[in-house]
Amino acid sequence: LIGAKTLTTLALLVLAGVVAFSRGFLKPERLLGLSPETAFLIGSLATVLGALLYRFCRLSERSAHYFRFGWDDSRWEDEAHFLGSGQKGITIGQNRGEAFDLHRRLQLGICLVLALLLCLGTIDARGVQLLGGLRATFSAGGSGYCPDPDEKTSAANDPNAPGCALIRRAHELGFAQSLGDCARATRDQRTEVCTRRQRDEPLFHYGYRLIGRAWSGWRAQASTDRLAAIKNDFVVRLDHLEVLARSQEQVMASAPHASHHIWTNLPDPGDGAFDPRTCVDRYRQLPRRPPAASGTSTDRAASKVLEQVLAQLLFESRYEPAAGYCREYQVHWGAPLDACARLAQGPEVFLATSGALERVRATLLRHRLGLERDGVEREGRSAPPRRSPTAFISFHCYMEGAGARRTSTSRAFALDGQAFSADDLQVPGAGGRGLHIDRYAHVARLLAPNFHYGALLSEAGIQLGSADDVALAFAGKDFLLTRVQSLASLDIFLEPEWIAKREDLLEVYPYHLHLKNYVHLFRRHYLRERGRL
Amino acid sequence: MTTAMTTAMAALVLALPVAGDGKPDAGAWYERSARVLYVQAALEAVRGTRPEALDQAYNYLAAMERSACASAVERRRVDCLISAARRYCRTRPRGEAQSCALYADVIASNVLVEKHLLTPQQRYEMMRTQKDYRAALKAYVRRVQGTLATDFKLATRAGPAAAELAGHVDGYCLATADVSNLSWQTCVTALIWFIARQP
Repeated sequence: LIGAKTLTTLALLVLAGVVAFSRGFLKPERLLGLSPETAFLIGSLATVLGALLYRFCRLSERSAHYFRFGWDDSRWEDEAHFLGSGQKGITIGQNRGEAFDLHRRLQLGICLVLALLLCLGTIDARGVQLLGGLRATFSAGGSGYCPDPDEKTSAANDPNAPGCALIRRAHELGFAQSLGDCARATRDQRTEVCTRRQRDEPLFHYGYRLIGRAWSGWRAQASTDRLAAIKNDFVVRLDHLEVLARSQEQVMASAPHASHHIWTNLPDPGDGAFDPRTCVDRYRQLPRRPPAASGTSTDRAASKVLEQVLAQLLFESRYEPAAGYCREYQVHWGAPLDACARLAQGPEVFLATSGALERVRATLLRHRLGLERDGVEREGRSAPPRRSPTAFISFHCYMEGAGARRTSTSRAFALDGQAFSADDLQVPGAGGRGLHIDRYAHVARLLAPNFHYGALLSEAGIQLGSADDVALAFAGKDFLLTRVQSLASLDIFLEPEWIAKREDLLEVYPYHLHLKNYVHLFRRHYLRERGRL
Repeated sequence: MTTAMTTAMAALVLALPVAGDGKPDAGAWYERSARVLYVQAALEAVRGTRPEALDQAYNYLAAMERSACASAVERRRVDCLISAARRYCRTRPRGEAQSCALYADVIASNVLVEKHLLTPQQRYEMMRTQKDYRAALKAYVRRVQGTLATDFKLATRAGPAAAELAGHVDGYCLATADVSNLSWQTCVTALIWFIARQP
């Protein structure tokens, strides 16, 4: 016979012990890792909880019922079947003092151990931290406080702190892009009305202010003028529902934001160049060295050079954001030499033949719908004028090997009532292997006719001496590593002739130094003339 | 490798590019085979020189770069440092004369590339926040060189022999120039200086 209370506490003790060992509550490293505050809190809570459990479960008294395990089906008086079947089973009966019960001090000890294990399993350092911040969380009510007006400016924010004068001077001279901590202090000194909660403001007063603000806002929104404006806006939108719906349709269908076309007589490299499905990844990061300079000499080398130059100027995002989205640029390989002349003569037919008409018209439609939507949304208000379609629809022809001299022609034509121009550039052939740096200038001038790159724009600075001096700088047979540092001051985009003859130097030329500057200047210029809707 | 072997290698490297008529054969000195041979000789020269001698040469050339050789024109700075390095090597003992030209080249090149290892903004921040700017810069450069050497080691798994190492250094610096934003010469000098000074 065993008392129900004793059986329950012992069962709970075994269960708690199993859980504690399986979950590692009693691992020495965990116990040693407890902070003094956490350990104190766990001990205190366990004492209180254990005492409450002992008290409210009346464990100091003997059990009212007992359990008996029976080997046969005989039952005593006042006993009832509890568990089991057949001859073996557990019966429950009224305890009149004959059942075994643990001593009350032992029961209290078990309660304390149970509470301790419970607290160890549920309370950790984070829990203590959260409990500590409970009061502050309740009283803050999710509000942000106004800064303390008496707050002293820290040394780091003090504009007169040592070093700030030097920093300001460096900033004025352009050596530093920002004033850092010295600037922050200046900005903080501005006087602003703070509508957040004051440090000494009671929670209910702050709540009242929030309700008042919400009420004022609602009244302003519900004023007669405002309601009339909303109604008017709704009516206007209803009248132009078709425009708005078609405009949304354009967005959902991802209609092109721009359509730029380049026709070239060069053959398709055949490796997926400018493929709209792969171009974003393909042109994210390109080798800096021009492909022809790395030793390839095939009939498609010129096409590879053009691809590399175009992608570096427009799409590569290693240095700065791309100047265009490659899916909106179409290169038409293997075009006839008079492609631009044909385009100017019969734009609709030529574009349809080239497979460009659909994209151009889709872009024009998006532009027109945008204009109409602007009219609806900004009715009665002044709006900045939209860019002309020539900014986001362009036609270029790049023809290599057509003549001995570089020639550039621009032919005007109209398509769907819009004026466009076909810019034709014919350059001499590169002739197999070589540096092909001149291709950068050709393509850059084709895309942005007013672009110019000169010594004043180069990061190499203005160097003294002629090509002979440069040749002399690399003529020595010793100090090869130090000598080659001079290459940094030799801008290959400005003076490619001499270095083009030194293929060994081209292998170690630091292309990235000047390419970055060239691309940056080109994109700045290009984006003034071209862009996206 | 002994000092005698280093001297022999240096003599071979310095004599190699000279054509039959004594005039330099332009277009050959930076070709792969010549580059590898030169890197190998430079590695041996730095390895074969006492650390104190290297430090002395470094301090001398760094001081020259900041003072007499300071110029806005890069080519002038390079020429001036080469002249200073030659003058320095003339003062060294006879046995060190050949290898001095090689290790002084590595040092002069290192002094010149330091500015490429950190952006103007980083340099400015360092000047603003560090009490001893030169020491901080030296530590920073050493850290960058160490990172580069670790990447090199992981990428190539080259052995310690200079002949094997030189080919790998040259190949690694050419191959990673696009990714690391470091020119071949910056990468090579940083690797030679860091690897060859390891005990």
